[in-house]
Amino acid sequence: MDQNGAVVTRVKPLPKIKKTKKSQQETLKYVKQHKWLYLMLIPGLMYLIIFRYIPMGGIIIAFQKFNPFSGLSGSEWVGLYYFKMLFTSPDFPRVLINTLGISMLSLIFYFPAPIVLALLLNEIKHQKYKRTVQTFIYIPHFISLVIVASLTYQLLNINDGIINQVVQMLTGKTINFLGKPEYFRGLIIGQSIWKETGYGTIIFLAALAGVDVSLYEAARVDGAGRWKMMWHVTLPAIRGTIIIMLILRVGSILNTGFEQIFLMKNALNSSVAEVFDTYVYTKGIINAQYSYSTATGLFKSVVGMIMVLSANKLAKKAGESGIY
Amino acid sequence: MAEQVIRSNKNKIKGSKTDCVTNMIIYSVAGLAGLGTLLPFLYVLAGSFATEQELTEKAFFIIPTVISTNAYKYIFETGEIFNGLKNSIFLTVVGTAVNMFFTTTFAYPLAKSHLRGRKFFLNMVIITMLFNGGMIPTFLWIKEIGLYNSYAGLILMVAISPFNMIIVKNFFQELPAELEEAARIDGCNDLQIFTKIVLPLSKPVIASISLFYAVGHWNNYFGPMIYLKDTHKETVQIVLRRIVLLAAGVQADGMDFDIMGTPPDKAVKMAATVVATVPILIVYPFVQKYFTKGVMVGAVKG
Amino acid sequence: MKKFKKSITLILALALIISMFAGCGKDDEGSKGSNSGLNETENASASDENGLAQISMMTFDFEGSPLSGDHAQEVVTTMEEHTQTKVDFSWVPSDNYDERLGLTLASPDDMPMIIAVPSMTSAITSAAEAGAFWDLNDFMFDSEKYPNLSQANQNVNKSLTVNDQLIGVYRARPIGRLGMGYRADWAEALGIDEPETIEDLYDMMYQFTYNDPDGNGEDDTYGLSLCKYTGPLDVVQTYFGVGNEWTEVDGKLVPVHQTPEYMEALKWMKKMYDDGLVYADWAVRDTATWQDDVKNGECGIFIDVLDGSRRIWDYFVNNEIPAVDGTSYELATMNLVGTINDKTLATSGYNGFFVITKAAKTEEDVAACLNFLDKMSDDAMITLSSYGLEGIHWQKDENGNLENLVAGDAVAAKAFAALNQTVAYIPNMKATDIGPEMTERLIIEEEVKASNVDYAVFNPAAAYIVNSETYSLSGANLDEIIDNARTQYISGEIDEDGLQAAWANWETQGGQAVIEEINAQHN
Repeated sequence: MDQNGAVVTRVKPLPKIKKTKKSQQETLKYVKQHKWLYLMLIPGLMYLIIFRYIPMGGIIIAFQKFNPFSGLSGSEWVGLYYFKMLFTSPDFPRVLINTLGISMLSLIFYFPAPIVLALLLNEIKHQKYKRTVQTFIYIPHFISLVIVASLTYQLLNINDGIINQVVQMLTGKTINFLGKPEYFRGLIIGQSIWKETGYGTIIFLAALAGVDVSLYEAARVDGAGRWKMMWHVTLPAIRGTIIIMLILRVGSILNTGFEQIFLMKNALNSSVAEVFDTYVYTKGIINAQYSYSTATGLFKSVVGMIMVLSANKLAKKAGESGIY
Repeated sequence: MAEQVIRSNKNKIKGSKTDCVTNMIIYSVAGLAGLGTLLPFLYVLAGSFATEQELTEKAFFIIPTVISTNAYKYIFETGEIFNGLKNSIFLTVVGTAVNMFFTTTFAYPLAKSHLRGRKFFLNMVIITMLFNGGMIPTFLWIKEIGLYNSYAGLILMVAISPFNMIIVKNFFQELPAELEEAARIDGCNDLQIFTKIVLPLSKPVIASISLFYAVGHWNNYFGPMIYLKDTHKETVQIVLRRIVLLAAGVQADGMDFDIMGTPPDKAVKMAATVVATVPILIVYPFVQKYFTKGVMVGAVKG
Repeated sequence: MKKFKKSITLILALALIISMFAGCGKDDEGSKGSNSGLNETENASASDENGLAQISMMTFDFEGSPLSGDHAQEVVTTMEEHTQTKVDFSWVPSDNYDERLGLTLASPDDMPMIIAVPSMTSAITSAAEAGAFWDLNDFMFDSEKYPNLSQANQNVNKSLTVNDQLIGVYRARPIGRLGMGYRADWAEALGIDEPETIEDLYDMMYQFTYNDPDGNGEDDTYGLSLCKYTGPLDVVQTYFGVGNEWTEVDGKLVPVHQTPEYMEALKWMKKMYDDGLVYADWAVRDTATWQDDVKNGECGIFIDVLDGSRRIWDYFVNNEIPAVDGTSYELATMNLVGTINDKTLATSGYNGFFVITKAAKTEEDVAACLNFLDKMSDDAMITLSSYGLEGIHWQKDENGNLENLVAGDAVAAKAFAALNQTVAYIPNMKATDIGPEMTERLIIEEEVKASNVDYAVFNPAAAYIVNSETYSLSGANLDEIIDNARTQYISGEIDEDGLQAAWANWETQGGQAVIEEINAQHN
């Protein structure tokens, strides 16, 4: 009985029907019927096995005291030695926090940027203007990080950086963007946004191109204005793409990329600038410690895997298609 | 009826005022983005034609006061760059074609939710995205199967990018199911559906993923560096990186080899950036046209 | 049961695919063979038709297309005749040499006989411990067979000794390379003499900053040019009697940051920063700006390798940068000073070394390799690799000096320049019989470098560091802790307590273990 006294029949949810194991014959019939689908899978499968899975055996290095000359078979087995070293290192908490910090900020600020820009560009009616802007914003992706770092220095340094000259005019002081730890994360995110947003719009623009134009027509007939159209037609159309990108992005949560951070890191901001990739570089590559870097890489991969699976589950719960 | 028309007209008029402001904002933000990305590149371009002195003294300029082509002369002098460009073009074109073949053929079956074993295959792909064996094991294996020092190896090694493949798969998934049903009624099998219907409709995603692969090949420095042995097989990125390092006097380890004269260091870095970037930049405008709306119109009806 | 059968089928299918490709790989053995085949046949026989020894060698390629173009064949033939050796070269581009080195070590069947190694890393030490290289102690000091190599400096050799095995022939570099250069015209304008003590140095820095040495009425100059590369600070430290990374105190080796002189040096540097004698943001300045700041007249002092100061001087001369008014100089000029307080920092004395791998199977092979390296340090070969062939790339002028005919011609130089990566430069860095006429600046540079040798401060632990296991693993991190702490202290980010905390951190992160490991070897 509900509040109004009406009789409400609670419908019992149907018991989950266990999938009966399809017999082999049915599967074979399916394969025969869709033989082209399976044939199409073969090249990719061969690729995966030959070029990805077989070399993956090399992960074993993480559990060995690997040295190239003795090779995989000749190097001593040390089990979890390097993992222990990583987790018990006094630097580990700091490196973890730094990495997560940059990753989180990146997720909040850098991830939406291409989406917003793509939506914005999509609204531009003047084709020539749109195309021109599109071509320009694409350029920074190709400029090497080394040049970007030196351009950043030229813009922001306290001696003759243009930005600081403006700041000085306004506030009478200069800001040591490049030296103070509190600015480091913003600097990195800002650089990433400048460099990669343009290139990142491509995938969203392609998705937007696939939106059925008739949907816009229908919306217009219903009296929808610009914002309503965006909210009800455009965004849902690219929602799938956004979710996918998000899930995949989440898998690289412990990856910050090495080169960019390395170039902007210095003695003054190293307390926030030291991330996994630079830490492994100093410890791993300079000293040629293959095992240590492989162990750290494995750790990052496992975390990434967990993140991807969780994100995918969440997406599925929210009704999205997810990766699977 | 009349009220409806009036109402919709009212919306149009209201819309046009806020529309105008919104448009202004949109156009100026876009314009700012465009400028913000163009100006630094113009500086690099200008710098590549500037003298060492000017680059040392000025922090930023768009037009050099003294034009000097020394940097470009230095880069083109030995002629290696042309070989590098040739190799890079080969790698990019062939590589992208191979990529698209492997990627689309693998993505299509996975886009079918009824495929038996779908989850298994997808898991296979996702795992490779996150785990890999490392440089030495991969290298040793490539050598073992005889693909060292060959473009075949270089291209096959990266035949599928799981990330790109998933994007393509999802695009295929979003195509209306009615298309497949209609085609099946017409007697098409899976392969024909793929080639005759799905691919033609997938132009936007094919265009953008091809672009991603192409850029990946063009910018690929590490792959050719490790897996190509002969100097005549070098790609343009390798040639340029070496030129830049040499120009910066990195080799100066105590021995005074003033054989080469004093190279124009900064301008060379900029000229190298220009040479490495311009070819692939030219490609984009051609690909842009596939990102236009209306690709889907008439798809179902047709 | 059925599921089991299904998985078996799958696995068998996969195995089939894999074996298909394994078989494919075997078929490709032919092509694979042609790549490495050369190495194999070279290794098999120690000499070929003409009685020339055959060896294989992997070394750096800096310019691309090594030994190519016109006359390259003649260069190679000349080299072969002189050394009586045919060499199968593996030229590896310098920028990814470390990765390629690791990969080469990972393929013991394919290794060349001689490998040029940039520095001692744990990959090398562990390979050495696994027996990858020959112990040259048994071979190199035969002064009849190897008149050049046997003169190798024993101190430097200690740095190449792993587990009592001498594994390398080092590539010599001047020991006295580090020193100071300053704007001579500025000094004259301000009436300052060449600095000899640390007080002189400070005074010069101060006056260069505040007394308007370039006479333009603007407060736009600094004393010392400093950037994020902290090498100059290590040099300045020696002026205070601080050692070179490690020093001996009461028979024990300690890291220099644990000595009182270090703190004195740091306080001086902090004062230098606080008084504004260097850029306020020096710690973030890119290394590209370092020399430029002196070149464009912003800084007056440059502390690093002396050829760096000399190159700045060259820049002034080549670009006719005028000196400041009212001095006896026409063009801007750098003065080169070797020592302050009679001290300067010594370099390690070498830059990379050659190892002889077990790919050299017999002692004859080893002899062939050492012979090649020895002959390449002869005057004739030094000249060949630096300047090319007589009559084609250079000729003798009236004074008997070498006149470079192809200076600035990068293409012509490709015929021979790559060879200088095979020269050990033991015992001479330059050919003794003939050389180009040196500019006045070069002559000065050489003199100062030579005079530095007696005053340069060495690192007494250099030989032990390579054998310290903890340093192999964490060395770079440990060094960074000390270095960062120094920078932060000078820039005022941390105070003395912060320094102590950093040093304590250094100890717990492995520094203490390194001290013990080093001293265990010292005794």
